[in-house]
Amino acid sequence: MEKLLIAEFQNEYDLVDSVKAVRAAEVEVVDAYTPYAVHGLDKAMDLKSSRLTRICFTFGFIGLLVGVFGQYWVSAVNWPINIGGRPWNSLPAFMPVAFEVIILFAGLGTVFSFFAWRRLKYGKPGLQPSLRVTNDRFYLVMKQGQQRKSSAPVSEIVMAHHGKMVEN
Amino acid sequence: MVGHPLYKNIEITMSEKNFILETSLFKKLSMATIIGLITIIIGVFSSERIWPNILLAANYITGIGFAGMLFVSIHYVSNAGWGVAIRRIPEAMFSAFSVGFILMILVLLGAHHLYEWTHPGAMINDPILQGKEPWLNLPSFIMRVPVYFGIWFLLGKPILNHSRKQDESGDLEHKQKSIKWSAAWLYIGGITFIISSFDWIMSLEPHWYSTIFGLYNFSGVFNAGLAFMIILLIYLRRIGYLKVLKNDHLYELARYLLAFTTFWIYIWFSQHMLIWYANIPEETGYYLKRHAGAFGVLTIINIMMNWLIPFTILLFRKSKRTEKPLLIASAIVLMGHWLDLYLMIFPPLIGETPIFGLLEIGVVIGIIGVTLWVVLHSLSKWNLVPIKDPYLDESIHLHT
Amino acid sequence: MADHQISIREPQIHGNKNLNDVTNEVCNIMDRKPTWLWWLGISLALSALTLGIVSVSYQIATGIGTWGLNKTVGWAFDITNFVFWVGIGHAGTLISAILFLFRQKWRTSINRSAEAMTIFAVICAGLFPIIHMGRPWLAYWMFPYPNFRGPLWINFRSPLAWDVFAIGTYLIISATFWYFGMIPDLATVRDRAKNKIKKFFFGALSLGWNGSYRVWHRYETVYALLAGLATPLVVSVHTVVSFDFATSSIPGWHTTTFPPYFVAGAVFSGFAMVLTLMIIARKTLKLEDYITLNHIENMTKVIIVTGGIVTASYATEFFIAWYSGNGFEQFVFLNRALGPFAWAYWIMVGCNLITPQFFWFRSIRRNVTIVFILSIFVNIGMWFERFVIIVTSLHRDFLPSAWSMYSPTWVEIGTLIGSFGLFFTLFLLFIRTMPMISMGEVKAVLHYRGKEKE
Repeated sequence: MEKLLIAEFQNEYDLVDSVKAVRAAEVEVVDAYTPYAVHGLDKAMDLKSSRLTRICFTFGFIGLLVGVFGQYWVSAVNWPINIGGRPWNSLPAFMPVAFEVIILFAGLGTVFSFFAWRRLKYGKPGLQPSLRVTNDRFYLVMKQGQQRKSSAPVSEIVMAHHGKMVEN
Repeated sequence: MVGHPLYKNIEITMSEKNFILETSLFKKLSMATIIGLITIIIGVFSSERIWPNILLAANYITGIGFAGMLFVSIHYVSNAGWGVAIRRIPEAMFSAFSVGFILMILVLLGAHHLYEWTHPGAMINDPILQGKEPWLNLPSFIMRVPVYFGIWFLLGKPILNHSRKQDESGDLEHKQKSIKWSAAWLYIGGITFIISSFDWIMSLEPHWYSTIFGLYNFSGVFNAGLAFMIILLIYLRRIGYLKVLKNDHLYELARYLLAFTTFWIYIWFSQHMLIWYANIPEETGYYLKRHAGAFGVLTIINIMMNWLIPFTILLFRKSKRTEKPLLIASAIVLMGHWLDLYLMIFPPLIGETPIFGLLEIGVVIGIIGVTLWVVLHSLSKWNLVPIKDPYLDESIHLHT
Repeated sequence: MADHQISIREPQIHGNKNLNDVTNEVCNIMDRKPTWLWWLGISLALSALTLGIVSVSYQIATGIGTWGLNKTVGWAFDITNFVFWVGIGHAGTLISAILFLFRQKWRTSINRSAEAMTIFAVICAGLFPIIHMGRPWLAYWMFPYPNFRGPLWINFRSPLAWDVFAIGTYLIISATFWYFGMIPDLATVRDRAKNKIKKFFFGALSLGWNGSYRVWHRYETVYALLAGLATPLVVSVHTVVSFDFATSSIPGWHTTTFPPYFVAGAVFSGFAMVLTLMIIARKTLKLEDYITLNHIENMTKVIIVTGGIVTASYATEFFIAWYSGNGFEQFVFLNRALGPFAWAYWIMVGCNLITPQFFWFRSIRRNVTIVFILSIFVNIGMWFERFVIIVTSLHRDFLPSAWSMYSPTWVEIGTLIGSFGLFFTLFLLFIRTMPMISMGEVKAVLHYRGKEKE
């Protein structure tokens, strides 16, 4: 197994800058660990935008179908009852519930997809470089691969951005 | 001033060219305006149908002015920074008010052709209309037109003046004052807009009433204004102006448009559903006219143009940042707003079949020509970017 | 963007803090022993809750006859409280979702507690229709499920059935949004926990969060999506509540502007309640650096805007009632202002129309004591608004011989006090057990550059 290099930083700006520098030196960035969602780090790490948007849309669409056809089937097919002379298929009156079902499906569907995908589940202990990740430290985890010959070693790049290497 | 931390971006914006209305474009726009004018003149002498067309044009153009000022004042009041770089465009839209005012005066000349309650004969046998006489009578109706425009003008002009003065002095005080004027504009301007909708459009069917009507018109107007801004911004960038405009600005505007098309369908649905559900004869008449026959088809097209199509396009993150889908969505919204006003104004006046003839085409060409002409002309008079606004730097470096 | 923010913008968080300070100060609220003020608060809240439980038990055992309702006024106190609490429940999701979408960064210090407040308020709201059923053990009949009664489905054309879906969805999605936003903070608490129970408890709740940026990236997407979904949801909830009234043909209830008007009113009252709670929390928990005067000022500005919409709605309603030429419509509105319930109407007008006007002055917006008092007036005014809409439209109906009056009994008042007890009990427990300020989001707006203080 290849050795992982871990660098520690004190603020987000140093982290983002050194991610850019390290990537320029063709060192592979495995992951970063941060106490909050750092703005602009996704671009620096070149992360793809999420597919969760499409999942959310799909769940919402299923919700729309369930909401509209469910109410239609219940009110017009399975047991039609004349209530206040409204038509059996009272589409305008079905809209509020259909809307709520869309939101419910889309919201819960997205969140549980995220949990499943990212394997976040009840009680799993966190694996992290240090307990200070969730407090005030930023970590950068890199993989020592084929670094470009001309550039400085990783530790020097990190040092140049006010970071320090941490023992693995 | 240069070197002060507030104005570190001044070099960037100094290189920004001021807009010049080129002669070829000017000629095209004046041609369109003249076509509109000629149509109106011919129409006045030949067809009753010209009056609803003029009323529509007056509302459409006033709406563009209103939406521009609304955007500017929301931006001030919420202390937002992102839109400063593009603020001159909604500011220029303010000039559409003057055209709206002229058209509205023209409408007053033809009030007898539009408003049933202006006929004494209609009033005599109708106790309900008699009850409304203190509000719906010609002298006070005429009086209210300059009052509305006066309020919009008097409250809006200082916002523009402060913005322009700040270009020269860079004084922060101008921003503070603009915020105060904007609050007044939103409060008083908003209420007058709602009342003016009751006046100019709702009273076309004087027996019918709906408390949400003003807000409904308002939501459509803001959609149209946002779409107009998006198209104008993209156009300016394409012909080489406004280099500070980034896709991030368009993205923010597109988000607004997405939110407000949804707001439009929300208001549309609220009014429609409540009237449909309660099924009270006084109210349902409005929708019976608009849901039967060919007007019914137009109602569905209206929903698609004002909500379904732009909503679906703008739902995707990518299309909010790309010129082509943005242009398509905005163009559909602008046409949809015309149709929306058409459906509010025409059905009680022209019988059961909708007509889209030469008169309508001529007036539409006129609307496009004159609106663009006044807005672009006003745009050419000032710096295209508010160069000394303290938030300009934040706006130029907008990153979403 | 932080690099280009100009010095005329004040920092979101005062006190020149570093990241560790934020963690310590927010977590300390949970770590230190409760103060006497907290004990006082919780004992008051629990006493109120006890009164509520007694009232509701008596009512359920005896019947709805214990209330002051009569044939003409069939809806009154209970529904007023329901609408009032749903309204309070609007600010939380509004602050979290709409302000998030509009990139209003000041939301970060108040969103967590506002969301908690939303959930508790919706719980309070949900109880009222259930106890109004008289036989609350059959409440599950409201849900559409295959059954042996036909299968007799619920009536989807009924606005009351819409309520079940709207309030239910709102509770579920708000709770999800709240919990989801809290996961990183729960991990922070877990990582600094000293005792085993706490470690286990927060370890379980934080779902193994480890601060990985790849997860953060997806997490942000989901958060934004939830915000995007919650925004129309929050609007729809009070819209559906307004449909309870507006779909009828009762003058004073049936008016097309009710949906946006109710939503604006809900935001108005919700923000007033957030202000009330946040000013108390700021003072007693010493959070002046987090909930700054700017936060308070911004919230008062939202109150001006929504108060303005509410004012415009009152005016429009009155104008259109006259304009309609409908005698019944005109009577209802005159009766509101001049009839036997005029006192309630003028309390409503005084609190909702006049109170926000004070906020036009910057000196008042930044005076915490006055803002606190005014926010309570708005709360009172909005309670009376619902009372006026519901009771005055009913008590003098089309048939003068059926006209009657309404006054609440001790059972109804006890239930209302009990709902406040429940609300404050839950809220006080929340600030002791969960991080009440969103640390992850506050840290992101600190723009912390400095070196260690050590």
